[in-house]
Order: sequence, then structure tokens, then C-alpha cells
Amino acid sequence: MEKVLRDKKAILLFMLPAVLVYTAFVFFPMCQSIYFTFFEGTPNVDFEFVGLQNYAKLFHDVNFKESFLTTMQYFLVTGGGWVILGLAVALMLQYGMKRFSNLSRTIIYLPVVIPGVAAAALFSKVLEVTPTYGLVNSLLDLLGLEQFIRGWTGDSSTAMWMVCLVDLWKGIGYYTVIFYAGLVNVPTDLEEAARIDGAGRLTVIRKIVLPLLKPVTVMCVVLAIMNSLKVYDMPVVLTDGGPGRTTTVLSIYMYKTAFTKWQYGYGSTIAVVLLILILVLTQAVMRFERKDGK
Amino acid sequence: MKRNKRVLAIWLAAALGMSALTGCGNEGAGGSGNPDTGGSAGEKTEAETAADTTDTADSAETTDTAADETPYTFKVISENSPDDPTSDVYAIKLALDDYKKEHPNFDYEFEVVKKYDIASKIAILISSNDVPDLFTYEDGTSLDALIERDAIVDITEDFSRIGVELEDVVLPGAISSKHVLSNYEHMYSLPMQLTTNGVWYNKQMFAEHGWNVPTTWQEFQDLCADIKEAGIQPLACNGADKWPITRWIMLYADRMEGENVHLDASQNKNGRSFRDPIFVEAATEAQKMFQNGYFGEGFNTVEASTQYQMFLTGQTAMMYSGSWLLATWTDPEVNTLGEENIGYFIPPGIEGSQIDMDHASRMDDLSCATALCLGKEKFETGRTHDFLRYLFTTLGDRQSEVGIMTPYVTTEELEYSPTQQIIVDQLQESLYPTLWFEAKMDSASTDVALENAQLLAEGTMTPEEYCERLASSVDESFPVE
Repeated sequence: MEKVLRDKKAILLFMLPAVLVYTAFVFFPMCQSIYFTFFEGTPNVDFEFVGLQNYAKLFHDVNFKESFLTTMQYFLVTGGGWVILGLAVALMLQYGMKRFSNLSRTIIYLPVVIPGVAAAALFSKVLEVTPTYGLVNSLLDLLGLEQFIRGWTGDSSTAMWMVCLVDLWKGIGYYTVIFYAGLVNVPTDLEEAARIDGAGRLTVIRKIVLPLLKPVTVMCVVLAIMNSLKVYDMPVVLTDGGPGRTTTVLSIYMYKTAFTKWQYGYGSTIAVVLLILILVLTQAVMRFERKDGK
Repeated sequence: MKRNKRVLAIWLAAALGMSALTGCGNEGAGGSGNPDTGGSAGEKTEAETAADTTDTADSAETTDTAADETPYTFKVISENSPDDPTSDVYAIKLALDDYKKEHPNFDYEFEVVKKYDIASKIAILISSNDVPDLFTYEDGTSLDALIERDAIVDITEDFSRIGVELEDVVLPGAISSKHVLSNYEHMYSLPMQLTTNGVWYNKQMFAEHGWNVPTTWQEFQDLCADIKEAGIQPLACNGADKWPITRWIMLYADRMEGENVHLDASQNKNGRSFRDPIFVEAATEAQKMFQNGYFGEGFNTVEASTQYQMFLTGQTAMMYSGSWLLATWTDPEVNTLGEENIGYFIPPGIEGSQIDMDHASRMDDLSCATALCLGKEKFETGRTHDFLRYLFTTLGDRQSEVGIMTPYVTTEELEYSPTQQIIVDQLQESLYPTLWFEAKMDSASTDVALENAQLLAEGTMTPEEYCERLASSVDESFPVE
């Protein structure tokens, strides 16, 4: 088996089917999407070449700018929250709750396996105000805080925060498990040596554990960037991009532009912008990691 | 050894390939999985190819023979569930079931898609040459995109190919309404039902509190204030759907300056624009109603089903909606309030406006707002003409039986329930029909009108800004010369 796996031809042969499928269903459609950005209309029906017009339109499109800022808000709150809180919870599991670690990990990971649509439907009821108060508003009513009672997903000042928080709750377990796997692989003798030298727990975490956890942290940051920038299901199901356009992230705007306004070219342009954004941010993270490594 | 290595490599590669392809297998929404029934997007089955070579639309006999001999799956997409007896497609499902009993090789698939997702679904199907046989769609300007892409049947030109004339199955009023809605000379869709829109109210609640049906707009506002003071939410509103919010802008503007004022402004016609003071005033009045709490808390999150529930359980005194609810009102299992307790009135006129009270009471958003479209590519094969003839010659009777105000010719003597009679009487009174607020807007302006309506209602957007954004969008599609 080892000889087989060292053989480059064998490796290529094993990879070939997956590469073909990936090329046909991911890479080719992506290239086609980039190709579409130079056209406008409906493919196979009335597609016209427009050159760079779609890219020029981005700079004047107020809706695009609003969606971009909304997406950035989601990226910072939810994406950032996944990494920071995921790490915090993993540290707590490793250093604070070792006794109940298995049970805690299961509970924390449970929201990850709930389908996004189900989670959104659940929180629609939790955050409800009409026809009856949901859990949150009922608690506020019980505590005498009626002034805070509102339709959390129907109020433009709170709708996006709700989308961010619900997705944060749902995704945090995923990053916690990844960080935890990294933490258990940190050599314990280094921690022991630091403790013998008089380092406290926090110092050990800051000076020993976190630096050794860097590769895992970078991976989580990259995953968080990708998952937060291409978010779609939670805002669609929870708020349908509203009220107004307050929760219309770039992926929703892209979808509506292509499929309800019949502007496949401009919709593809927005998709390319998303692709470039993800590439730029992930490259920035990788470069930062390499520089630091030197 | 080398040979063993090669054999092993091939087996492992095949296993990898099979596992990689596992995730790709997908019947897809509405996909049939039966290779004989035209399930593949853009590909014709043997049966369809065979049907193409026969003399299609002109020979009912040949069509009958083709339908009987070769299997066919009739595909329908609608926003409402066909299994709900109060839904407007239930009657179509009944027809499909009955036809299927007589034609064992005929099958059907129903796919339910949310109203505002239907456009994107149909767009994808047009690109992949797989437009369904029958589907519901928003009527008016929205349909233009399908007409321009030659995706749907020209009803005026081609309906008769199914073996019956349009005028023999669709009521004249419905045909006229369709022509008013359309931006083209020909009709490109069929009606789903004849609808009127107004305020449904709880008669029992009104009687208990001594409230009367208002005769002026100001009386209506005072009534709402009184109901709110009594600790009851005056109106239920499905703000999550957005259109009920813009409806109040339209009602006020039309009662001030006529039923066509919003239609003209939608296309910058006759010197009208959404920048006109009347629209700012109308948007202000609509905003006031929402800010005064007449629609309760969290109206932006309320969907239609919740709205109906709130009204039927007595949580609200009134609700603005359409006569498509007749099927709901006539079903005693759903209508717990009782038909005899439900009243109806058209929002009254405004004292001192250009439009007198009588005119206002006969002004009605009267339309067949949901379009029933026939997919052109599949229609052209002629495979479905026999069924379509069966459907449209029996649809009037079927819709009447389930309590829907039918735009189709009926053959049976009709006995109306109390709420049906209200609507029949109202339809006879309507002398000044109009269309809904977004009916004549282009798709971009429709988005602007609907998306910003929630912000207007909750008070984060001023009426001036709302009207200016809408007017600017209309100017892009209909530049003022």
C-alpha cells in the first residue's frame, strides 16, 4: 500500500475523479460566472456583451454599497465572534471544565447540526412579539422591562444584530471543537515547565498555548472569513433581507439581482466581488501568519 | 507485482469516483426520477419527441391518443399548497386527480414555491429550457419579463388550440381585467380568481362595543382610535409581505385624486410622479396609522397566516385583505369566528377631496392579480391540450364548489354563502376598478416600493424620502421627456 501511495501516477489516478467532479461542478461554473460579468440579460435568451459596464455600475450602485456594509457588519460580529468566542469556550473546556468536557462539547456542538432553516424558524418564535410574546419578550415582560419589548427581527435597528447573534450561537460549536482539538495537542511538558518556573495559568495560556495554537487559529480565521462572507440562509429565513434592506447581505443581493431582476451579468459581477473579497482577506491572513513565523 | 498495483489502483480510483459522485445525485425540486416522463431539464424524452412528430394542436383525437398511449408528467408550480382546500390551486389539483383516474398514463407534480421566490425559480427554469406546464406568477409588469423571453403561451393567439375558445370558458369581466393589467395587446396569462380588496370586520365585536361601519376616512381613523382605546388591536396587517403597507398609501391617494393616480405615477404618465404632494401626504397618513399602533406591535414580522389567525380568534377587530379569503371563510373548520360574524366594507372616501363619497365607495382594487401561465415549450408539444381543455371547461364549477370567486364560466346553479354574497354584491357595485399599488411599476421600482415600505411604516424613513426614492427609480425606467 505504501508503495502504491508513493507512486505519483497512482496518486493522480485516485485524485482524478474528484478533480473532474470539482472542475465540472465548481471550477467551470465559477469561470462561467466570471465570463457572465461581461454580459447582461438572460443566458440562452437575450445575453448581450457589455464589456466592463457591470463593474463600473458597482461604484454607483447605492444598494451594493449598503449590502457590502451589511456584510461587513456580519463578518466582524459573527465571523469575529466565532473565532474569539470559539477560542474562549475551547480554553474553558480544556482548563476549566475538564470533568464535564465530553458532555459540554456535545451540548456546545448541538446547534451546529441543526439545519439553518430550523434554527431560523426556532428563533423567529423566540424573538416574536405578535400574536403572542416569544421567549425573549416574555422574559422582558416578567422582569418589568416592557420598554425593551419589540419585534426584534422586524425592527430595522435590531434585525441585523439578531441575524448575527443567531448565526453566532449556531456556529460557535464548530470553531470550539476545532480549537479544542488544537489545544489537546499542545505538549503538556511545556506547560508544566512554565508552571514550575512560576507562570500562572493565564500567563501559560498567553505565552505558551496561544502561540502554539497559531496554525489552528489561522485555519479558523480563514474558515470564518469564508463562512461569514457567503452567508445566505439565516438572513433569508429569519428576515428575508428586511426590514427594508437592513439585512440584505451581498449574497442575497446577488441572488435577487440575477433571479428576480433578470440581470445575470450584474449578479455574477457581485459574485466575483465576493470571491475577490474572500481571496484578499484570506491572503492577508496567510501573509500575516508567514511574516509572524519569520 | 506491477500488474497487482495497477489493478489495485484502478479499483481504488473507481471507489473514489463513486463516492465523489454520490453527492451529485439529486432529483431536484419537481424532478421526476422517471426517465420516461420528461424529468431532465432541457432534454426531450422519447415520448415528447414522438409527440412532436405527430400533428399536434389541431387534432384533439391525435392528442387524446398521444396522452393515453405515452406517459406524461404534468408539472405545476404555485405559491399555494394544492392540498389546502382553501387554496386557489386546490381546484386545479381536483381536476388533475379526476383526469388522472381516466388517463392512467397521465401523472402530475406540484411544486410549492414562496410567492417572492417564484420569479427566481422560473428564471432558472427558463435558462435551462424547463419551464413547467402550468404555474402561477405575479401579474402586471412582472409578467413582461416572461413575455419578452417567449417563455409563456400567447393566450389570445393560441388558447383555442386546446379545442375551446377563450370566451367560452373565461368571463368577459376577467378578460377585460387581464387586458387592463397587461402592457401588451394580447393576453399572456389566465386568471386565477376574481378578487376585490377591502376591510373585513368582526360584526359581533362591533355590535358588542357599539361601533359602526365608517362612512368617511376620518370616521375610519376615529374608529381605529376607539378600538385601540378599548384595548383591542384595530387592524391585523401582514407587514412581512410588504404589499399591505403600500396599500394604505394607494387607498389614501386614490380617494384624494382618483383611482388612476398611482398607476400614472408608476410610469410618469399624464404629468404624474411620486414626488407629487398627494403621495407625500398619502405616505404620511399611512405612516401615521402604523405609528398610532392601529396595526399592533411587530407588524413587520406578521405573515398572512398569522394575520388571518389574529382576526379569526378575535385578537383584532378588522383586517384589510382580499376576497381570495372566501374559501377560508366558508370552511367552518378554519373560520372559527363563523361566516355570519364577518362583515366587509370598502375603505371610505375623504371629505373635501376631489373624489366624492359615492365614487370612492365604488372604487375597487379589482383584479385577477395572480396570473396562471402556460409554459410555451411544453404547450407546443400538444401533449397537454386534452387535459387543459378538461381543466378550463370544468374549473369554474370546481372553484365555485370550494368557495372561490371564479373568473371562469360556470355551468351549475350557484348558491352563495353569506360572505360570497357580500363579494358578489360588491363586484356588482364596483364601477371604478383599479389595480394594486405596484401593478404598473417596473421590477426595480416594485422592489423600492416594497422594501422601503417597512421602513416607512416603522418610522425610520420619512414619507418624503420614501416618495423621492420611488420617484427616482421610476425615472430610470420611464424618463420624463
